[in-house]
Amino acid sequence: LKLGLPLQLGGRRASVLLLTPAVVLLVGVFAIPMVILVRMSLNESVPHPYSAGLTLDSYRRFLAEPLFQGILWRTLRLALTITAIAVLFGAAYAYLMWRSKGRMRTFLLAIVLLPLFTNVIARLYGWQIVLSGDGPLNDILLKLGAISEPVRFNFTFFGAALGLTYVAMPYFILIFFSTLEGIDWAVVEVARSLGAGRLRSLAETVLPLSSPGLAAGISVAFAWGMGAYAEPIVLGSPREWGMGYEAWRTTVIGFNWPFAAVLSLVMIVSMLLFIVLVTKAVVRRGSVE
Amino acid sequence: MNGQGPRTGRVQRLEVQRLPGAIDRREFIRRAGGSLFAVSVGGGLLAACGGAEEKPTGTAVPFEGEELNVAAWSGPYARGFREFFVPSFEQATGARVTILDEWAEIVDKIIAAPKDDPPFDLAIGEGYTQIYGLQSNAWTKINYDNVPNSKDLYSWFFEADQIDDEDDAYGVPFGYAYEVIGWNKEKLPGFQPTSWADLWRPEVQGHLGMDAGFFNYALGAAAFKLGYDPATLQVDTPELDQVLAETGKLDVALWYTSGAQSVAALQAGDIDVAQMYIEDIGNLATQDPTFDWVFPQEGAMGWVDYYMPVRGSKVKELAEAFANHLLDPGAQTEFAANHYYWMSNQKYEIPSDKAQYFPTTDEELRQKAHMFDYDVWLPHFFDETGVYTRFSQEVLKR
Repeated sequence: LKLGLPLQLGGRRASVLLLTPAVVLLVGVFAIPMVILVRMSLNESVPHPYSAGLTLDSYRRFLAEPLFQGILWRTLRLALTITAIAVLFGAAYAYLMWRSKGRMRTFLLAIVLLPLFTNVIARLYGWQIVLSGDGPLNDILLKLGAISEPVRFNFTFFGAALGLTYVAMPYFILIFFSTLEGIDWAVVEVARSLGAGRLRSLAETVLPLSSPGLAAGISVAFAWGMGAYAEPIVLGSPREWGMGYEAWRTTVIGFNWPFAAVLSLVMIVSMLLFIVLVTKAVVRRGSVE
Repeated sequence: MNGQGPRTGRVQRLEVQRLPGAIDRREFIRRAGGSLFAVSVGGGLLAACGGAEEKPTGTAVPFEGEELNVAAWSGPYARGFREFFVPSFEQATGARVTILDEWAEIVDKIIAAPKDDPPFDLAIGEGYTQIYGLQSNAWTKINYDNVPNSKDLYSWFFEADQIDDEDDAYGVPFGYAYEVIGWNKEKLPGFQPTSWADLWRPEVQGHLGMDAGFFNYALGAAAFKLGYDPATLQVDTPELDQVLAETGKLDVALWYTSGAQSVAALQAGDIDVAQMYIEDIGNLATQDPTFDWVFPQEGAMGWVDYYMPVRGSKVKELAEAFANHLLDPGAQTEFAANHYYWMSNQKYEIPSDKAQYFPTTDEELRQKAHMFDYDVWLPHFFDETGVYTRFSQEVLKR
């Protein structure tokens, strides 16, 4: 087999050449915008939308005003809620998909993928109809006698959490499923042949081996929750309008780009902290066990 | 983007028809006052130029082959533009016009683009967008010599300033729109509102939709109820405190940030009554008799849409020619028949079904049309006064 020129160069030079496209992409798409965002956060906010400067005023404002801290905490609460739901139901679904064969597996995969082919706003307005006072969910609950009068599901925490979970869960399922696909079922059978019960064999083999995928899936679901914009607006109340909405509003309506940059950075730092903590916890637990 | 950008899929593509005669653009502008719509509808530029006998004297169709990007409000408004303004203009000028569906990000997009290559050549804006654009040098002054139809406008449109006296220097006033009360007649059979105060009636609490995107309109309803002028509510005044407290008393099911949300919630039965944009509830009530709306007795808070040439545009004359066409009485008549704007040209014909509440004189416009003074309100929006923070905490309970 004749190798191409870069690989013929061998060793260090080949590695550098092979890494270059990825490094350029990462720097261009992630690092440079982050630097711009940090720089923007240090600008003066007046005259609007910003003027060049070097001040921590926007950071001080975030720390000084309870409104924004309250928004951050409620955003975290919503993000953690939908992450928990996505893990509980998504992991079970991904496992079911992994263990299924043939048409059943295709069917289960299609259920996850099909919603992604339509616009998220259209899907959310679809949920608004389902959850509405005159909608099918209230109809069913009334007919079953579970409620005596229509319940307001829309424009509540429940509505926002449901909409976000619906949007985020497919990503969790697909990530976790792809990790499960890399696990050899024979490992589980070996554990069982050595006396482990059903649950223990899964906990001792599948869980540790899938922990990187679990951590990645949790991170993605949490990131969806932290950055949520459309879901809380369409299905939530103003208490669910989180950091994503506030950053948008501060940019477009408030015309205060430095403060919007601070809000965005707070979001990003919160996500990074969570991802680091989760990855450490999940992966460490996986490797220990 | 001028003349080079691809046309988007949502833009109606219209074949430019060759005109029976041709004139240069100076002559075109001179003759275009109040006549372009008649030209294209009538089937030729000759009619527009004063009758079939008069022959065009130039050698080229004005603006032929040039492209114009116009930012307009998205939804039915933009569709109306494509239907009532674009075909006649393209036919008469040989230019191609792209109407872009936009909303709050117009100025941000201009700021973010290269100074000599703006995303639009002509942009819509009410007082709020205008003043932000002015502060950001997004607009360039309009040459009224190129807008002869402006001589026929109601003088109120030049008097009514949302921002000092600068608004009509940078853009031509197109029409006035407003918010009204819309409701579901089947859900609320005995409800016949006449005043903004009716939003506080006990039977509608918990079933209300209110505007939180432009939160001044929600506060405006309370100001009307309390007998204050919403246009100039100042910070640190007892009036503003009362208005915030009064708005906070409402049991609101939906705080919406876009008009589409209020329509969807009203149709879905999640709200039964709402403060609504006239274009939204007007169209809905026309299509579905379940819904109705009323122009409150106190008047309505609204805004004037201006069209402003964007700085850096390479086709400013074409933009001004289109702005002139937007003031064409024939085209404005067509637009008003299918929309709810109070148009700016005195010569437009008010649709018979809207005659009862469309003003016909400057005096009526002064009485009925209210607008926010954005020299006062802009600091509220920017939260320099803390009013937005108070609204978020005391009214939205965030």
